[in-house]
Amino acid sequence: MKKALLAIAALCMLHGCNDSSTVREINELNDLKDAKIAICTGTIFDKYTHEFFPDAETQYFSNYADIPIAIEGGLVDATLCDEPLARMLKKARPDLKFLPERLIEEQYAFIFSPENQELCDQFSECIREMKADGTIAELDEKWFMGDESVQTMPEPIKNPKGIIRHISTNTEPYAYLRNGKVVGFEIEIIQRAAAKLGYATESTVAYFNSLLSAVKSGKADIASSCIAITDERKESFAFTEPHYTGGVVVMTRKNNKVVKPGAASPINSIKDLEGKRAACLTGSAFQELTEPLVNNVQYMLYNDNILSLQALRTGKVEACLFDEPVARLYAAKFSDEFYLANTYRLENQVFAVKKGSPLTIGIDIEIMKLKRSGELDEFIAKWCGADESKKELVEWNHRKDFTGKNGTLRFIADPVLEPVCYMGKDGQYMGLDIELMRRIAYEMDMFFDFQPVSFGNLLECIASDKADVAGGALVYTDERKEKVDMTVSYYQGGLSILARKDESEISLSQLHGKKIGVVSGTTSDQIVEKQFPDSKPIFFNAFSDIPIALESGKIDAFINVEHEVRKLAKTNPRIRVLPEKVATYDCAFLFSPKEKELCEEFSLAIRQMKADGTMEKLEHKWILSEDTTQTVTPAIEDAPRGVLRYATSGDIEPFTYIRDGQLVGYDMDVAQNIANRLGYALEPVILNWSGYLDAVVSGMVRFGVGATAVTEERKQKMLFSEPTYTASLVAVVNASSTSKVRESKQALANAWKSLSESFERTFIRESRWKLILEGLKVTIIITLLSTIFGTILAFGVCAMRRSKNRLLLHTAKIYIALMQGMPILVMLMILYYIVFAKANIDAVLVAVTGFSLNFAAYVGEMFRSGLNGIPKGQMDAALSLGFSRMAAFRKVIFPQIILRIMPVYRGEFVSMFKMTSVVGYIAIQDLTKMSDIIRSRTYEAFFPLIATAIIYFVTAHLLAYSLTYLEHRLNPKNSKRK
Amino acid sequence: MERIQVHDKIFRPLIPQEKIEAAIEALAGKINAEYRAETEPPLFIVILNGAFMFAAQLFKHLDFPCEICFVKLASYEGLHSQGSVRELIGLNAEFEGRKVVIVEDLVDTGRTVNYIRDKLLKSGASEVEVACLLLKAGAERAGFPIRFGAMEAGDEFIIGYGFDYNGLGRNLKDIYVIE
Repeated sequence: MKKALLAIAALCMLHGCNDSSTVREINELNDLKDAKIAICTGTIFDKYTHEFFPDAETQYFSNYADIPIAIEGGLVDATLCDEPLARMLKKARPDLKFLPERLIEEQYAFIFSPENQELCDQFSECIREMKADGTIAELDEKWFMGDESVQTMPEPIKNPKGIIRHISTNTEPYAYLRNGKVVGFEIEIIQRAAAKLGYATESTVAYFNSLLSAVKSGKADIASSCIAITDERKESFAFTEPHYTGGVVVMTRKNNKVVKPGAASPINSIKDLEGKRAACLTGSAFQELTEPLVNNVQYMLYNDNILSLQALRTGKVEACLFDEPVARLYAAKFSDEFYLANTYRLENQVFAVKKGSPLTIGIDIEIMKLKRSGELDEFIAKWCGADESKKELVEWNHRKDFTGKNGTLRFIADPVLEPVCYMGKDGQYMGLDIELMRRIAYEMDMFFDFQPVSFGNLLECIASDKADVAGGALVYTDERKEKVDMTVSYYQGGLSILARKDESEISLSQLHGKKIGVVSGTTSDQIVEKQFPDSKPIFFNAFSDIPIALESGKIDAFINVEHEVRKLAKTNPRIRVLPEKVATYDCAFLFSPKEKELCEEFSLAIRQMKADGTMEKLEHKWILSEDTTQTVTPAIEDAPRGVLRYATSGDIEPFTYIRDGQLVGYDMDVAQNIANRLGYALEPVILNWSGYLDAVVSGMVRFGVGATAVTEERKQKMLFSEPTYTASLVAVVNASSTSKVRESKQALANAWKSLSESFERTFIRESRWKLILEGLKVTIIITLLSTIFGTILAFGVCAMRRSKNRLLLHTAKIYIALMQGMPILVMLMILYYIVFAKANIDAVLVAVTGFSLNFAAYVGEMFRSGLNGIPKGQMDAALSLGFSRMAAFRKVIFPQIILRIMPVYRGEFVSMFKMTSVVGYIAIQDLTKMSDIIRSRTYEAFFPLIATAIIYFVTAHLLAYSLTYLEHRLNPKNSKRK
Repeated sequence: MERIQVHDKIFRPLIPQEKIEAAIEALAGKINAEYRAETEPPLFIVILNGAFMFAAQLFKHLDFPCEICFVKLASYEGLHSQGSVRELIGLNAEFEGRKVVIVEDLVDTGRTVNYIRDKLLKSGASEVEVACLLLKAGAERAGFPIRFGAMEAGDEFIIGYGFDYNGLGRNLKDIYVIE
């Protein structure tokens, strides 16, 4: 058993899993109706699964040991198994559970030969006693739940009056060999019962099918091994009192928890963040709220959600902390990359209304009504979903009596939180909160108006009556409740963890919409069509062309039979086989309907060969082994039943192919083995594929073989034997999307393609260039106005600085020192959030004020130094020539100052132009902010940032050039003499 | 009957219990007439939470053996939500090829029942009807006739008899309207 468990653990490495959050929970038999159920090929559970859950999706496994891992990994939801095995598995694998409901209940008992009825009855009596006094329950606990230290066998009795010969299979914990002795639950019951009757026991282990015959023939007195009492068996055997109630149960995952084998400790709860890096939004309370819950987390602060997402994507952090709707949106949008790991703090999202406002009650009622009608759910599904095309504000017109007589509902929110409230298509504000509040206004017979306000000022604006309702993922808190009224909750959000999916979790679902390579005319072609209807199949004539097409990026994936793919993967490290199987199908021998008898003979032989392990050996020999020198089992000499002619195609390695002039392969070997068993000689006829089927149907040959899939269509015309092989189709993708082995040309072409796609996304789609232009306009307006006002102000500063009045002089000195010593961003924020906080002035004006003040300080000093550099004598000379003082300054002094300071002035001007990029902090949508907004829609950092840099660069140089031109014009040397 | 307060709001009586129950009894008569003679009676699917009181009262008056199933419509499940799928939770009865009657508290725009109806028809139900306690004027927007409505409803916000205000008031035996 331990070895088996080790094998299971090793298999973990081979299996990936589905996306964790779509895994379903199985809590009762009914949940299995349409679940994914694993079946071990060739077991009775195959029949039961189809009988009890005809609609369930089934997946076949050839080895039972794979199934628990597949369940834990989320590949399948459940499997049927024997109750005792389920108990053992549950003990060994704590993530599994089985449903208490039994699909089939079975009573296990011991059997005697009918001649031994008397002994059997005595045994029954002992078992009844042991049941009554709790011995059986005790033994159950000991053998099923205990460990080796308690699992001791009772001492054999002395001077027995006879020996009872017992036979059983090796089935832990019922009866199994440990240190050369047969021990176990059933063994101990039998030994105790025998001891009571004065007998010793002697136990041997054997295969199940020999148990019954051993008892019947008298080679053993009693047989055990979870033998279920059936009416059929009762006819030939005497059963004791049942000692165990087993049956068929459903094995599934515990707590719906998916274990991700091979993944580096996945994040599923807040505790999993320990020792990891988590991205937080600067200025959010996420870190503060998370810190008490988990230790040793490294918080990385990012300025917006997109940067956080980028950090997660590139592995700079292991998780992002987001508002629940945001995390939900990203998990839906990028379901291939990220998953919503956990929501660890539930919060009620509400709207804020001025204290005592009559609007509160109206909004409450409308929210309740929308909840009741189901429309609120629809809004949530729409905005938090992945389908971007649906995300548009709807115009309602169902109210015939709408007049807007109740005025305008002024709604404010910070439009930076997709999907709650954000700037979407064409620069339009949209999102769940906006749509909901628009609808509420409509229902309340009010017009709707939205103004963007930064989050920190929302409640202030409501309290000062600048707006009626504030939203944007506002959360109910008692502190806020003191300032404003809160409506009923319209959404239960909270704090969520968004985590990256492990690479090993690449699932088949990602192949949807991709280019998939298939060999034309094979079953994989139909399967691609059926399973990935939205993908684009690309047909190839030969399998060998496909891997090259994959590597060069012509296709995204291909589908082929597993054994071929595995062989390829051994020699080609650049491809990656997805662990999930696309489909499985059975291959079998093919007979004409007239050959029913032969077909049945073959089926029987195949079943026998399966039971005795011959098939497994052959599979190893031909399909799994890398050996290329295998030969087909030799034919028996002088076959008594004559020659069987059969057809095969001879061109499907490793099933039927010609090597060194010999027809070899798995199917050939299976056929030879069967023929040897049945006493036939074989004579192959090699025919191409279509001819092969015809030859079988027409009776030209007795049967056909050669990797022939059992299909419903073929079944209508032909007979199939018991399957000889279960083939699987698997999908193959590039080992890494940025595979270095790709030719550089291809890489260049791809880079160009992705660049042009980025360009399209950044500028063309949704007319985003308009946003860029608008942003640029704002940037230029701020720069030019600040330059004009700053320069005018600079004259004043300069004059003050040169003033003889000490007060003016010192004021100017302090002013200049302040401006030069304070970061412009800090000054802007002070102006916006403190100085002009209450004044209702446009943020652009605040920015112009700030930059003008800053610019004036620098330029004032420039003027002063320029002025100081002009010899005093020039003024005197001009005055003596009859110039007025003003005219002397204008005509003689000023042009010289300009020439001296112009290069520095130009530098200052360009530097201010670039500095305006910080105005986004005070809610101005300038060029930088617009590129942020575009990034928040395109989810990429590279292109919009580079594009913005280029726009700044070009504009700065154009502006600087225009100043140079001005400088040129102002230079007296260049002006025409009158 | 007196005014009541739920949370911070005052509600006044609108429809007394006797009137509601008389309307339900009348509706039950209609449903009996429709399905009594059927060899296979329809499957009733009650949409929780709102319809629980209405459903309890309705079924008392149905005089044929009824198979009843209670479901909830959720836009997402629990905390591990992904995407935004609206699901019927708890639908575990076999309804393929059967007639189904959705039991709903209120049909307003009809979108919810239409959504459920579509889902059921797509999954193989042979016919889907809706029985509701209150039928609003705009319900024709559902796109199919609602044949079993017990009472007409106005546009006012009501609570009681299964209807809540922010979680409270479902247990009130009469229907109240906000002041």
